[in-house]
Amino acid sequence: MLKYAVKRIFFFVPTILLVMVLVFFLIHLIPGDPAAIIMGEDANPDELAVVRHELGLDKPLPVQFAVWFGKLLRGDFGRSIHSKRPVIQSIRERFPVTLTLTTLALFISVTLAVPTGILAARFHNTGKDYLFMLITLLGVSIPGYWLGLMGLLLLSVNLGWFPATGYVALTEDFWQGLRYMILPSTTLGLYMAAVVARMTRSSMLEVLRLEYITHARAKGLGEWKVLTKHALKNAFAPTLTTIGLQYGLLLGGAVITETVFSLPGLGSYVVVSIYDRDYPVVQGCILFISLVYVVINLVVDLLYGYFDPRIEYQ
Amino acid sequence: MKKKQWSLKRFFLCTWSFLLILCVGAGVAWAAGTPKKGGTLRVGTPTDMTKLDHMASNAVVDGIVLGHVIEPLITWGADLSYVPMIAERWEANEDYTVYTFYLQKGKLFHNGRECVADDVKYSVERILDPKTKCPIRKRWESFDRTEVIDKYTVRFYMKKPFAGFYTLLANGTAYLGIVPKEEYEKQEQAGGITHPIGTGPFKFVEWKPDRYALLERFDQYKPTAGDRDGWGGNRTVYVDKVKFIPMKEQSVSIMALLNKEIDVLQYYPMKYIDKFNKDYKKKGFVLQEVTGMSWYLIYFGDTPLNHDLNFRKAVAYAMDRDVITKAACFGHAKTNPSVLNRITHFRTPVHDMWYPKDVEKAKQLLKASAYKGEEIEISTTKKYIFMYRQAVALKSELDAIGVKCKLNVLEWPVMMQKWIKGNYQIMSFGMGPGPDPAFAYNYISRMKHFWEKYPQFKEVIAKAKATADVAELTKLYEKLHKLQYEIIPWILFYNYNYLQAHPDYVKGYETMAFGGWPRAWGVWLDK
Repeated sequence: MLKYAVKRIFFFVPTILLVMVLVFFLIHLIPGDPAAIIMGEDANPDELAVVRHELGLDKPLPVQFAVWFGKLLRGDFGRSIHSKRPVIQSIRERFPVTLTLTTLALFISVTLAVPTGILAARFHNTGKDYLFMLITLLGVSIPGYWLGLMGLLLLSVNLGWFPATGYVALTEDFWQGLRYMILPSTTLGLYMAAVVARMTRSSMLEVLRLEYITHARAKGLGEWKVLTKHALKNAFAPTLTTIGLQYGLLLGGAVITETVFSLPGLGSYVVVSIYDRDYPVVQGCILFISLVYVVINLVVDLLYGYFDPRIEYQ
Repeated sequence: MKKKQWSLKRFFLCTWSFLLILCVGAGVAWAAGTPKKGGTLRVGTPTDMTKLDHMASNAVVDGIVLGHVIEPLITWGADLSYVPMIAERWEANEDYTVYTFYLQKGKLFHNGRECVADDVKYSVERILDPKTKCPIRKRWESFDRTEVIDKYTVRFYMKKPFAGFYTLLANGTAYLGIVPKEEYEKQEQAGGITHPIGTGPFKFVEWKPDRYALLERFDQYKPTAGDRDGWGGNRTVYVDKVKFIPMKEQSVSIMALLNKEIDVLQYYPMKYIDKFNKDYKKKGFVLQEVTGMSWYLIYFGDTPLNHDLNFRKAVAYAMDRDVITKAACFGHAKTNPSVLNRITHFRTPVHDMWYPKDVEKAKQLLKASAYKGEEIEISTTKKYIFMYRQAVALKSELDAIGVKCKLNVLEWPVMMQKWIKGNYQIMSFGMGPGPDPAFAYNYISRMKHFWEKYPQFKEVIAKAKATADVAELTKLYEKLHKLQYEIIPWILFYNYNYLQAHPDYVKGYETMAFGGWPRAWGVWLDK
């Protein structure tokens, strides 16, 4: 397994390199000039040329890439063109927000989705199954933006249970932080739950049809034990893949949730930086997100072996 | 007789009761109107701060937050006159080449040191240093040098007559805020400005990006006597702290207001005004509305068709500017064809002169123009929704005279790039307030293709920048508007209204016409 993990880590290098090249050239190829945004309505061609020179934007793209890459090798992600703050500092401040939001959402979604998926599969083609699937269909179909706003209107404005906006880090004040996070993470978690529940149901249905499940039932094992110990463990690999992909995607930026709830996370920061053509921020953040994503995928791959002993790591 | 005595008794009783009620009433009124110290004023802003260096940022939000911390020599009063800040008085020579400023004595920086003339000299050097990257450095091209006369007197020399120097000093963004040399040099050596220090009524505490910017009252601040006046005047602070909280999503910012998670909402969305009047007013919320000074307009780009005056005139005659104003701002704006805002004392009836809507005349002019039925692109953006809405209304007006139009909705950076290059046909645009008319004309007309074709415009602006004589300036501004009327390089529509909302326990808060900038001085919380 260790050998497999090391091998996979080596495969990261070309993936990350490719991401770096793509991100760098794509963001530079989008029309729009960061110098014009810095100068604003006072911009004139002469001053713009000076600003572009100061930012190194007048150099050919391959040269700019080489400069950025060279700095990266020294651990320097660069500084924001607009705020002048080091990109790594912004990542350090914002990633914990996204991590907290996504992890709580993941917890909520798995807690809701896995039992729902199991029950839907167990009561396949019955009223309960249809009800569960209707709920999950709604979960997938309702836009997160709308759900967030409705949640705010009901639970924050009308009932006053949660604050509408703001953020307190769990490390600063755990309970207060949790209060600020419940609404956004539930909004996000409900969407994730719908996807995960549908995946759990379909993979459970496949497994429940297999002979060893019939055998287990024939042995006189209780239904709950059959479902959780024998069926779920084998059916969980595709669900795990879905959870891993969802988690990775959301860590890259739960943009809508972060925007609606005014959370200072990484996703909303990347989006704003794209609009501002803040190249170092976009490049640095996307590189970081890619790294997180590949690490999560590795963890998911390694967990397969636990859930499905047939899988061997070579 | 008995009856009479009783009446007298009743008379005294009534009189005393009346006096008592009067006293209680007055007491209550007095108590409600008496400022209370304490609390944190939370202001919801539409965007987050961008940087902590006031000289390097032209973002309005940075001007607002840092304007509470770092003061300039002079600033704008409510009637757009110049009012003192760090300077207590000033004078200029006859041809506006030498300016002398006398500083207030005992004005302290937040580090406890007195602000003196050397700090002014250092601050000017800093704003002009290319390393500072002041976006309006070019506006300082007439400036020559600074001379420190004594501890409290500083003199500025211009290279040529430049009456607009006061405007530079009073500018609210990318501004000459006076800072202590030792603190700024130390921070710059450490990599950049991380803790702004000035002489303002608030001290900087911290900026947590996308969360808040927090300031606290500077207790050693000595406010000037009199009333609050624009961005200056009496800056007495009652609240302990002020927190600027960015809220990018409009509906969420309203929810935060209703939840009383914020005390002032800087931009209340126009489309929800009816809801406010119907529901929120009853719940004890107050809405303030003041016409601002930002311009919304269209520009004609550098294309052969746009060089045809008949075409530009046809467009001018095609438009009902009231209709466009209503469509863009739901009526919460004032139409204004002139670059001069409606507050300035330079304004005369000439500035109301513009083309009335006349479809037939527009069609005739279009026929006589170089327009051959091709599709005209109106560039706009949704980042600033007024620009988009007015573009939609404009398209409908132009369709009516037979000009085929399509909207080209662009991202803001792309739109800015096009605006600078002039490579567009018609652009639906907007600009922040420019209180000084000479600078405003300069600001609004910086199109290379326009300068080349109409040099007389630039000449009049140059004359206006060189004088401060009110009568002469009034004439020059009239001349500029007449030129604008003849040439039609752009068509101005309106100055929109600033709408700001707060719960009724926020006392002393007033929306300012100049940019709608929230002021945390003179405000108290009566919870």
